[in-house]
This record gives sequence, C-alpha cells and structure tokens, in this order.
Amino acid sequence: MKSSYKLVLVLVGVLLIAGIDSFAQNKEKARNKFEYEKLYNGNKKLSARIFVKTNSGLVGVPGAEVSFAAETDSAKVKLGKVTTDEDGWAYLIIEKGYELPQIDGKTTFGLTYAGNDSIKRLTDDMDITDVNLSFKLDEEGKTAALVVTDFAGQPVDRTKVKLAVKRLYSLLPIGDERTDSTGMMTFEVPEDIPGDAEGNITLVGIIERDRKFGNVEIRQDVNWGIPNTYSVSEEKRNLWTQSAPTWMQVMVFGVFIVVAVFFFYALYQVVMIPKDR
Amino acid sequence: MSDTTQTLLNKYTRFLEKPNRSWYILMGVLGLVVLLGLYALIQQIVHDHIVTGMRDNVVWGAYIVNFIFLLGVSYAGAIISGVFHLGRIDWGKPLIRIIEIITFITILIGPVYILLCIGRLDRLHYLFIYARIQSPIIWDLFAVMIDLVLCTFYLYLTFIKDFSLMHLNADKYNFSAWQKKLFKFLSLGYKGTENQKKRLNRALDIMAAVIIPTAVVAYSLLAWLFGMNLKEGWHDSLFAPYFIVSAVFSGFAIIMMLMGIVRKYFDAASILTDGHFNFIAYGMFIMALIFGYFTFSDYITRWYNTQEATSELIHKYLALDQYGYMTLTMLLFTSIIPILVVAVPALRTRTMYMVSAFLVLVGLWMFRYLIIVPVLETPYIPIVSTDPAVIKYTATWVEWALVAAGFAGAIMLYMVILKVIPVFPIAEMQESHTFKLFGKYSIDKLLSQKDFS
Repeated sequence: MKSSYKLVLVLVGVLLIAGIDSFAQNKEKARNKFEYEKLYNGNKKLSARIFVKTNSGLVGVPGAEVSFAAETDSAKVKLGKVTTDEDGWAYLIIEKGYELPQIDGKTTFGLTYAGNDSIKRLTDDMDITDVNLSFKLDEEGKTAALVVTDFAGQPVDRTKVKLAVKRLYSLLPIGDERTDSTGMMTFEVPEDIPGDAEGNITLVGIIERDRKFGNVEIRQDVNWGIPNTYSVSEEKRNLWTQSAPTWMQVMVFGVFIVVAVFFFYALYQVVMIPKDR
Repeated sequence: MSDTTQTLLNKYTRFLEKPNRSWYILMGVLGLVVLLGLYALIQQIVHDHIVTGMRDNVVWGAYIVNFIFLLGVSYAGAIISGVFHLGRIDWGKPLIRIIEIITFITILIGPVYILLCIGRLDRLHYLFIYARIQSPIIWDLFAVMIDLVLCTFYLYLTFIKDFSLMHLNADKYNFSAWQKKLFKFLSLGYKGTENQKKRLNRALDIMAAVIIPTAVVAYSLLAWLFGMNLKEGWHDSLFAPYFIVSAVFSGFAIIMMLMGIVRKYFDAASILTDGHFNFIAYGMFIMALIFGYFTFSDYITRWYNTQEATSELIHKYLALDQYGYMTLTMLLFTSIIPILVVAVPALRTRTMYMVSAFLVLVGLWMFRYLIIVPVLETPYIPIVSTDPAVIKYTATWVEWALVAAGFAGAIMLYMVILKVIPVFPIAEMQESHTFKLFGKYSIDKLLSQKDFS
C-alpha cells in the first residue's frame, strides 16, 4: 500500500512536470542580415535585418530594438540602438569624422537583439577593414582609374572594383575588374554618354559586397558627357496652370450646352402641355 | 378608357389608398435603422472622423464604396430605362417605372456618402468658388448634379400620364383630399389630346435620349476620378468601361430583385411574367460574362507587371490572409453563380434568379470595396507606422450604421413614392400595342378576376 502510494505520487509529479513543460513556449530562432557601407559622402552605414522563418517564408520582425557596437581587442564603443521598420530593417549612420576603434584599419562591428517573448536573443558581428577608394582621372584619354589603398596608404591588390555612370534612377555599368599590384584598375569611359546641359556626368566607383571591406562607394563629376537639353513632355500637358487647356474647356462647356439645350427644349414642351387643352 | 386600363387602374390604385399594417411595421423597422444611422452621424460630427476606420492613408472606405455602388445602380437604371423607352421595347414597359424610381432614389442618396467622407464640410462651397475644370473631382461633381436634375425631370415626365388618369378618375377611388389635389397639380392639365400627347412624347424621347449618354459619361467620369490618379491599381485605361459594365450589371440585378418583390407584394403575376424574369436573367448572364472577361483581363495584365507596388497589390488581392476570400467571393457571386443559374435548366426558377441577383449586388459591392481599400493600403511610399489602424482599414460600426441607414432610407423612399404613383405605368402600357398582344392572355386572365373587374 505504501509503495503504491509512492508510485502515485511519483506519477503525479512526472505528469505535473511534463504538463508545465508542455505549456512552456518554444521561442523562434531569430536570423539576421548584417551589412556595412562606406557611402560616397564619407558617412558609414550599418544595416541589419532581423527576421524569422515561417511557413510562408522569411518574415521581418518590426519594432525590434537592435544595438550596434564597434570594437577591437582592446576597446569597445556602443554606437547606438535602432528600432526595426515594418520589414525588419534597422539602419545606423556613422557620420564622417567619427573615430571608430580600429587596429590596422580593422574594426569588428557587432549587433545585438535582446529578443522577446516569442523570439530568441540574437548576436552577430563582422570584421571590416577600412580602405580608401579614389579616382585617378585622365581628362584627355577619358579614362578613369579606381585606386584602392589601405589605412597606411599602401595599395590593395586583387580587389574587385566597378565603375558606373549615374543615371536618373539607376547606375549605368561601364566595367568591373580586380585591382592590379598597384591597387589600381583603369576603365575607358565611352564618349557618347548623354550628360546634363553642360555635358556633366557623375562617375561612380564601387567595391561591392567585399568580404573584407564591405561596400564602398565614391562619386566624381566630370565633363565627359554629351551636352543635352531635356524637354519634359509633362510640362506641355500640365494641368496646374490657372486655366484649363482650350480643348478641355471646349469639351466641358460643349457638353453642358448640348445637355442644357435638350433639357430646356423638353422643359418647354412640358410647360406648353397645360396650354394645349 | 379601355377595359384593360380600367382594370389596371382598379387593381393598382388600391395600393395608393391608406397603407395597411404591414406597411407601417416595415416603415417602423426601417425607420429604426435610419435612426441608428442618425445616431452614428451625430457621433461622427461630435467626435470627427476618428470614429470611422479612415486614417491618413486609407482616406476612403465604406462610404465611398456605397457612393459608387448607389451611383452605379442609378446610372444603370437611367441607361436601361432609356433604352427600353427609345427602343419601344413593349415587354419592358411594366419595368420602366420600377427602374426609374430606383434611379432617382439612388442618385439622391448616393452623393450623401461623399459628404460623409469630407472632413471640412464648412469648406464645401470652395468646390464651386475655386472650381478647376482640370480636376476630375469637379467633373464628377457637375456630372452628379446634372444627372440628378435630368433623372428627376425624366421621372416626373413618365408620371404625368398616370397622374392625369388618376386625377380624371379620382372620384372612383378612395383617394384622400391631398392626393386628389396632388394628382390634379402634377397632371398639368394633361387630358391626352393629340397635341399634348405629341409634346409629352417628344419631351420623353428627348430626355430618354439625353439621359443615356449622360449616365455613360457621368459614370465614366467617376471611373476617371480614380483612373487619372497615378496610384497603382487605379491608373488603368480599362476603368471607365469596366465601371459602366459593373453598373449595368448591378442595374439588371436590382431590376430582378425589385421585380420579384413587386410581383409578390402587388400581386402582379399577370404583368411580370416568367418571360420578364427570364429576359432579365439572360441580361444578367450576358453581363456576368462581360464582367468576368473584364475582371480577368484586368488581373492578368497587372499580373505581368513586376513593379513592387503592383506585385504587392496583386498579392493582397490573392492572399487568403488578406483579401483573397473577398476576391474569390466576388468572382463567385458576379461571374459564376449568374452564369450557372441560366446555364443549368433546373436552376431556372424565379427564386434562384432572385438569390443570384442578390448575390450579384453583394459581389458588386465587394468589387467596389476591392477597388478602393487595398489600393489605398498600398501607397508607393511605404506607410511609416506600426499602428495597425493606420496600415489596415476596417470599417467601424459608425460606417456600417450609416451604410445600412442609406439602404433603409432608400427602401422607405421607394415605399413612399409607391403611395403616390402606381407601380406600373398604366397609361404607357395601354398605349403599347405589343403589350396588348403579348400580354393578351395575362390581361384576359386579369379581367376574369372578379375582384378587380
């Protein structure tokens, strides 16, 4: 009797623990995307997307607070906290001139998301080595060389660089190639690219998604394009002028007049009915 | 006056006499719905638009959907009655008044919903003071006003002969004194002389010819009010004909519904025959095919547009956790059921026709909802908010109450008008040669009913 009593107690205990465990919530594993960009104006941008995997695909976590930090073996700086947008993205701009901790140009950027009731905590980091990307232009030959140097001004070879020309909504690619032993790659710019009214075009040099350097972009205006005057066709059809176009006025008032003529003629017929007894 | 006319008069003027108990009960119930709408309106006036589901992005909701729906019915009524009149379609004569009354009522009530959308009614007169004819809103404003005037006038023209009939036979019936005075005043002294007939028929022909293009232009203008926007989902060259097709479709559906109700309530089986129901059902069948074709064409064209906003919008229309169920229901109600009801012989019954017509009207209301709300929820510039009320529109009880009050008010007005004028254009039907032949059996049957002879 005593042993069976104990057995019942053990069973109840096991069921209780199992019951509590079955009610415990399984947290989702958070995933992330972490990118670094050195912008053409000298600012640096950290982008992080926090997302979870669901049955319908990857879904961004909106309203998540993401902490960014920069560190080396000897120093650590908290850069700031950013809340993700509706698609799960958080962006942090580090203004030009801000001294980041670095050893030989290398900085480790870290991100931390504390998680919530249903999503697990997440941390990630990436090592970025700061490089300088610059143009070396040959005005006569219409060639643009992209030069990559490290923090000490030494050339960086075998880095893939890309040259493009800025257009209204996108970039027109000119070429992409790896730098040589002098850290340089030269591109010939076509002479028939339409520019603004004075022939100015904007050259864009890019290092794209490099594992060591991240994204780096520089821009330079040159007078190598064909001068162009753009006529904006919308201007001719604009409707924000004081009066409407003549054709529209004729149409609108024409319709009014035609309808009015028929209406008043029909009304006249009705008015005459009592007189026709 | 012929025996036929006398019989029709005997039968249908009794509905103009003192209302019965069920009439008052129905009016009372509808009146309660209107009162609920008035309470909702007071809430909206006192607390402003925050009591509605409309916010910064979705600035239009159930009100504008109802506006477009009611105007669609109105313009369709104008087009169909105009075609019946000008085409001298005699079998359609008993339907003309049923259609014209709903045309008038919906153009009267529809624009009220625009006023409910406007935040600053105190600036309403600016629309006239600072009117710019470049603006599609101004086109629509004038189109609605002109159409209201034309429809009211045309409705009155079609009443004159019957007012005269009732005025001249007033002593035979239990009309109240105010009714007798009203009939005399509104009949304009019409006695059916040759000259009077000529003048009235001329006026009717002119107005019928004018209201058809006016209705087409007016509803096209309403479509362009959306089409001239650069918003994804609205900037569409198909919109004007698409709107016209949906309007005519709703016109056929509302005629079917009203025919069923009038036939039962007014004991009009001998006038609204199975032939009428079949003809209108065939009309709905054809409109369902055309509407389905337009809908498919619109979706498939957009499907091939891979721009971000278009893809997002198409996803919203088809995703079951967003508007997918509404899209499927709309397609089922508007493009499948009306076709099946005619295509399957066993389903060709008056009850099925009426159920199908009701579902078509519900489907076409949803169609307008799908045009307005998902598009406004998908702007080119992403909505910068995590507040669900800003991102997604949900109509509140205030909006539903005012929508319901509009429908209740329309039914009440219909019932009141049918206390002033017979539900069928008796004088017009008397003049109809084909009706005499086409409906000979029915009229004979009617004449044999001692109650009315």
